[in-house]
Amino acid sequence: MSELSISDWRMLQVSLEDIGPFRQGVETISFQGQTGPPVSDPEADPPGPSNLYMLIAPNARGKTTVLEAIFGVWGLLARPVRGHFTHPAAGGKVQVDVRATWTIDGAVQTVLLSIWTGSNEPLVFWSDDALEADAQAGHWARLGVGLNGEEPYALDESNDLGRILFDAIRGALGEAPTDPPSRAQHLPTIVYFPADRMLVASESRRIVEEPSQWGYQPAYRFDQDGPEWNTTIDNLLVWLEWLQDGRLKALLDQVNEHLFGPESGKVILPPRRSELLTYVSTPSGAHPLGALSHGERALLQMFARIFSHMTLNTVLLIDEIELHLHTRWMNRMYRSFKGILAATPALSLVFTTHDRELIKLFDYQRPEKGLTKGGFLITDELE
Amino acid sequence: MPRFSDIGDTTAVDHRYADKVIIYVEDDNDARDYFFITGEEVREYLEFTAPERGGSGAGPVIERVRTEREKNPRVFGLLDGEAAALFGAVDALLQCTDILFRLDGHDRDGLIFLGQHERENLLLLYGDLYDLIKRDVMPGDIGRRSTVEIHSFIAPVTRRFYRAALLKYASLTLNHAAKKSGANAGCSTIDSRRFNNPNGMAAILEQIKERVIEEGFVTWEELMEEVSRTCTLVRTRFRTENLNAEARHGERLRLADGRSVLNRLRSNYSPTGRWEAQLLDGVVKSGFGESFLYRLRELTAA
Repeated sequence: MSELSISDWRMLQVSLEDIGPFRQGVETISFQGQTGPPVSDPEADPPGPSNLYMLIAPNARGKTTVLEAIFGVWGLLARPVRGHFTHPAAGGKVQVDVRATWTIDGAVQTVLLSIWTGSNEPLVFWSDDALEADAQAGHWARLGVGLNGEEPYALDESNDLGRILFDAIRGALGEAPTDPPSRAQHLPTIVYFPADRMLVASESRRIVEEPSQWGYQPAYRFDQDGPEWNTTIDNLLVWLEWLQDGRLKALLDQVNEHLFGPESGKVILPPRRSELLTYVSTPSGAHPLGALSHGERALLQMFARIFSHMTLNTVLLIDEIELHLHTRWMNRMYRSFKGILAATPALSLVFTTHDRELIKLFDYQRPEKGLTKGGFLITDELE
Repeated sequence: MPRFSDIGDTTAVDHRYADKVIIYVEDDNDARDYFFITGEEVREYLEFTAPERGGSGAGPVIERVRTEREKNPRVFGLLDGEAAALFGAVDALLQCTDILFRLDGHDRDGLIFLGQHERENLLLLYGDLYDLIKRDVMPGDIGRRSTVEIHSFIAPVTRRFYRAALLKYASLTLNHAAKKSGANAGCSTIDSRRFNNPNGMAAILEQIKERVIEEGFVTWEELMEEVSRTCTLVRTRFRTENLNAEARHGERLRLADGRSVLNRLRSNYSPTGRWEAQLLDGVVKSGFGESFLYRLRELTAA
């Protein structure tokens, strides 16, 4: 089996057909950046793929479908398989195009990877000219994914490069996160927070147990924090405390920085082993994690999962990013995400929102250090 | 399905996403008052908003409508009636019998004009002004202000700022004509608020004349000729429509510099009075808001 190592990972576009409201032929959403004032000079360099992308649309126009489709095609490579395309009656086709820089057996390549499902052939074909001009890539890696029962397989139209990625991902499934996963695991992953994510008080049973979705997967979906113990953040922290390998401190440092900041005087402490319970230290005393406000718990869920499961090459998908959050908390989270993205080269975030204040805050044209912003409005019209 | 950059700037994206009729108005106070007049429930399908950049007035509204409307036909501008003169179309305001009006022409697409000089004229016409003046007194003066007495003060003030407005319209019209013929400028705008000065009309006109001559873009005679033309147009309407004195006064009040009239009345009757809120309330109670909203929805398909 070839040795594959990925050093850069940028989602370029997603194309959809016959799924959700996308029923009028292949429709493509480009993730190219649009930061900066409109450029009239056709010779000017485009900003490149975005790492911060806003997707907006009125209800029922397909925002969630887009995120579910991206998650779904990668979810076919997970174990167990997960997402939209695992359902027997699932229809639709999707293709995700990614520009990646990877090394195979010592040779560095910039490739355009197309991963698709729902049809034998890719939905969008890339000519040599388009590969070079639009993707700045020298090779086209093709990976079509089909499903045989619970087992995914590479479709015939896949090529050798696509199959190498397929084998690498399938071979790494379930590998325990190492120290820390965001610096050790190079294989790509999708970390998805759907809009129906729930925060429910944990059941009373507390044990030392491996958290749900613990090992490497190409697609994670975090739609609940509780009530089952192994889906809770409390469990995640207890598990890391039990492993005693230093990752808990790294995680808490990051989470505390982004959740509370230094000025609040609040900090999540390592779990108490005797109680299997995590406390939050505040200027007025300590309280269990469960006593955090709803907004704080929503943020904790996101930051803890992201810092625990992201790899070197990660795409975050967050549906209705403002969910559970008061405006002040939303602004804080948005600021934190900008900082995380700017400091993490191959991390990108695609989010949806209904919050018009966030559209203004996002201000897609305003250049910000380390950020390439882009956005898309899904409408009924074909333009 | 557009990318943000295909739609325009962040504001244009926000408006396109909102999927409502967006009506740009000249400043935040306009937006506040139009929401009040039409009722907060209109927010579900309509938004009054002032341009974020470029300051207040008609210019930024015209610019924003031009910028956004190409990609979003639900964007409109609601301008003071006086702004029609910027397009050389003051006659449309002078002869308007509607609450709102539009002008033909590509460069006016999406622009709606108030059938009055400006928003304050709505307050003066529909806010039950006389009743407010009668009630805005110390306890010992209740019942001492009569309609006749109030009218005897309002009428000359209205005439003064009606003439001032005609002078302003004339300057805007000449400027528009000059620009249309290729000249850089035709006449600087004559601010009707100059007539707030306590000096007599003759003295103020003399100052304006000196400035026009000094400026040299148009002659004083040309300016007066345009004032005379518009004045005749209005008088002709008075005659042909057989308007009585009260109706003629109402027409002058519609066309006068409303803010100046309001300020002059307030300084006479109640220098510290918070009249705008009470007059706005009066406008709503008069039923004008319903008519205004009905017409606005007709013109915008909101």
